[in-house]
Parts: sequence; structure tokens; C-alpha cells
Amino acid sequence: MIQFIDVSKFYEDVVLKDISFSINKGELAFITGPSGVGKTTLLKLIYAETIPDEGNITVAGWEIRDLKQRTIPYLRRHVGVVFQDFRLLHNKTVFDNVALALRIHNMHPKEIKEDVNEVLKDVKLKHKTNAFPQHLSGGEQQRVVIARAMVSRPTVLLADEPTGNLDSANSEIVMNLFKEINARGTTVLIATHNESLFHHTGRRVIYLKDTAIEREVSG
Amino acid sequence: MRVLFYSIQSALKNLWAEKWINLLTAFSVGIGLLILSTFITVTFNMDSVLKRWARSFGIVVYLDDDISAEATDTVRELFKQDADVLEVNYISEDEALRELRLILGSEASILDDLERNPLPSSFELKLKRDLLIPSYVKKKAEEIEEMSGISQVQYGEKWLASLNTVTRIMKASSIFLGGAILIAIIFITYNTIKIFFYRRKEEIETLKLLGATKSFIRLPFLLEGLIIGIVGGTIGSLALFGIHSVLVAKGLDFIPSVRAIIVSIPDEIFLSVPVAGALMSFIGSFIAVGKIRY
Ligand SMILES: Nc1ncnc2c1ncn2[C@@H]1O[C@H](COP(=O)(O)OP(=O)(O)OP(=O)(O)O)[C@@H](O)[C@H]1O
Ligand SMILES: [Mg+2]
Repeated sequence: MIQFIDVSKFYEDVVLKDISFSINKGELAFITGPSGVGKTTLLKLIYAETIPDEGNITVAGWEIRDLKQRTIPYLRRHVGVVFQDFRLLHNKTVFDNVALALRIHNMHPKEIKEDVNEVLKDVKLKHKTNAFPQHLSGGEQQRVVIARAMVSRPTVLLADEPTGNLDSANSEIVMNLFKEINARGTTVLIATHNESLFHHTGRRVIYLKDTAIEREVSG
Repeated sequence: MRVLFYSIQSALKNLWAEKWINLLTAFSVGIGLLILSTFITVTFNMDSVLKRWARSFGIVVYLDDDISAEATDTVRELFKQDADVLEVNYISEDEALRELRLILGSEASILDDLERNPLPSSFELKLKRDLLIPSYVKKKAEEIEEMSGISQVQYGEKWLASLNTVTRIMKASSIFLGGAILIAIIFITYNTIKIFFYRRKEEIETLKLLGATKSFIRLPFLLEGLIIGIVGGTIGSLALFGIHSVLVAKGLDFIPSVRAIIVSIPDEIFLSVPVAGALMSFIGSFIAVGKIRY
């Protein structure tokens, strides 16, 4: 589902160098490593927010290197992203923020309403439907972002530090959500340095260190 | 199709969220169009005034003193067959004298001492409106003067030149002012839409990351421009209508000279103004939207 072949990314310094790995369809895997190692960068490469300087990436059958500007939106519609910095729109309600992910698909307003309400129930935010993001706690905002990433039932779900603002009880709720989505067939890739998320899960964990993959183990 | 639905919804929401800027923009567009349409109305009316003036313009062809009746008829036929000539009027010596008496009024008695009518008979020719170009009329007059039986050709050379200058100035300034105002309207909307665009940069960025297409992102901006243009145009149109009504009702009593210029106003203009506003604003937002890098 996701395949990296000798991928390198340079900003001022080398961030990622000759990274190769692949995530299978239906897998739920983790990427971990110290802050600044390039976890976010790696995810951005997957949904084409940045392009690799070397190597090639394939996502859900799309060759990132060959994508035209025009076709990038269609790749992104297959990839739900829980952004580390949330990217919620502050002039829109929780409902509208989540609905946006479906409106860009030109879905019918009635279906949008149903799907958004259901996903807000899933993330336990039904009562905040008409609230604005800045009136929500960090953890609540986090769950809105997760709801927005899930609502379109993407082929691939990327989550960048999805429990960064959550206590352990809410972290568990969120992790259970990801497991559910995954069970429905979505490939899930979670970037985190919260080791308790993957300990004793038996899932694959990719450790990044100094621009490279240090090891891949079962959590 | 649903793209359009969401875009209209989004455009209306965004317009409402920034209603004061939008109203200001619409007002600027409206004022621009009001000036333009007022100018067009004045020009339109001036043109019909000029046409009326032009109708009174004539070439006077004086015939030789000793011309025979047959020769006079031949000349008349020639004029009548001339495609450039709209109207031919024959003024006999006697008629000319009678007119002169009328003009002199109480002084007319000085004419009584004359043994012989000193005035020549003449033809007065009216040329077609679009031929009233000084160089053309001059050539025409020279041609007529060459004809046999004709002693002299006279026409208001200076008058014709100034008619022409006025017409030309009016045309040039219509084009210049009209163009300037239309460009100004394009620029006003362009600017407003660009400001919106920068204000919503973050939103656009997020939409892009969620997988929104170019048209999904751009369409609301285009529609906003279009709506601003229509609203502005309607404001301009209503203002024109109001000013015109007031002038007709009251102003004419005080300034009668305005009557000639303002009295008739083509109905189409009330519809054309919003359409022009919409079009120009759409162009403005189209240019602004073109700046969205994607
Ligand atoms: N747009 C950019 N321009 C320049 N440097 C960048 C850019 N984005 C990231 N970097 C650099 O790339 C490196 C990796 O950043 P990245 O955000 O991927 O780290 P991370 O592993 O996600 O860290 P964290 O756990 O703190 O989120 C950092 O050194 C960062 O400064
Ligand atoms: Mg990061």
C-alpha cells in the first residue's frame, strides 16, 4: 500500500537518506524516533506535501514522482491525515471542519450530515458539533482532526502524534478508533514517540534514527 | 454541479463574514458604473443633439445670374440623383429677395430703390449625416463649383469643423473614460479578492491538503467577485435611476439647459450597468484567482 524505495529528503541538512520500507494493505504500523528525526517529513512525503529529492514512493498505486499538480488532489482523497499541528479552520464549527473533508468530494449534503454526525459520535464529540475549535480543549481538538481524517473512509490513514495532547484514557479511545478503522480495511500508519502506544501490541514499529531506519520490530 | 452549490454557499458565507469590505467594494464598483453610465447617457443625448444640428447644415449653391430654366432643371436633376444628397431645395431669386426683406424688417425699404433683383437663385443641399466630414464636404463643394451654370458654393466651413471636433472629442473621451472606469472596476475587485485570498491562505492550504481540486478552491472567489459586481452594478443602476428621476421631476425647472442633455435615457442602460459590473468584477476576480499558486 505504501512503498518507499531509497527515498532521500534534504532541507538545509539531510533529513532522510535512502529510506526503504513498505507497509502492506490492511496493516497498522508505527513510526517512531526522537524529535526532529523526520517522522512528520516522512508522512508529508506520503501525501505529497513535499516531494522526495531522491528515490521513489508509491501510495495506493500512485507513483508520487509522476503525479501532476492536477492529480495530487485525487491521491490526497485516498489518504486521511491527522496533522501534528491540527490545521483546523477557526472560523468554522466542528461540524463544518469535519464536513469539509466530504464536501471536497462533492458528496450530497444529506449524506455528509449523516456521516459527520456518526464520526463525531465515534470520537465522543457529538455534544460539540456546533462549537468552534478555539473553544475546545487540546484533546477535543485532536479528536476533531481524527474525525476529519476518518470521515471520508480513506484507503490510507496517517496519524502524526495523534495522542500528543491526550491523557491515557483518551489515548486509549483514540487507539481503539484506529484499530477499528484498520479492521474495516484502512491501512494505518502512526508516527509517535509515545512508546506505550505500540508496546505489547504486536504491530510493526519502524525506528528512525539519524536519517535512516535503525530497525523494524514487533511492538 | 454540486461543486457549484458548495461554492455558492461558501461564497455567500464568506461575503457575509466580510460584509463591510464587500459593501465598500460594491459601492466603489457602483459609483464607477454610475459615473460611466451618466457619461454614456450624456454622450448618447449629446449625439442626438449633434444629429439635430447636423440636419440644419446645408450647402448653398448659387446659380449663374443668366441661367436658363432648362439648365436649372438639369442641375436639379443631377443633385437629386446624387446619392450623397439627402434633400434639394430650390430658392428662386424672388424667394431670396422676400427672405431678405423679412430679415431686414423695417429697413426693408432700402430694397425698394433697386431696379433689378441683385440676388441669384440657389439650391440648398442637405448631405447625409455621415458625410459631414470637413474634407469630404470641401471636395464635394469644389466638384459642384466645377459644374456648368454654377457661380459659387458656400457652406459653414468653420461650423462644420467644430461640429466634427466636438464629435471626435466626445468619442475619444467616451472611449478613454469608459476604458479607465472599466479598468478601475476590474482593479477594485481584483484587489478585494486578493485580500480575501491572503486572509484565507491558511484555509486554502488546508483544503489543498485535504484533497480539494483547483476549481473547488477557486470557484468561491470567482463567485464572490461576480456577486460584488452584480450588487455594485445594481447600486449604480438604482442611483442612476434615482438621479434621473429627481432631475426630471425637479431639476429641469431650475436648469432648463440640462433638459436637452438629460431628458432621454435608454432603458437598456439600467440592465447593462449590473451586467457590466458583473462582467468587470468577474474579470477582476479571475485575474486575482490566477495568482493562487496550486
Ligand atoms: N520546511 C522545512 N524547511 C526546513 N527544514 C525543515 C522543514 N520541515 C522540517 N524540517 C527539518 O527537518 C527535520 C525533521 O523534521 P520533522 O518535523 O520531520 O521531525 P519529527 O520527527 O516529526 O519531529 P517531532 O517528533 O518533533 O514532530 C527537522 O530538523 C526540521 O527542522
Ligand atoms: Mg513531527
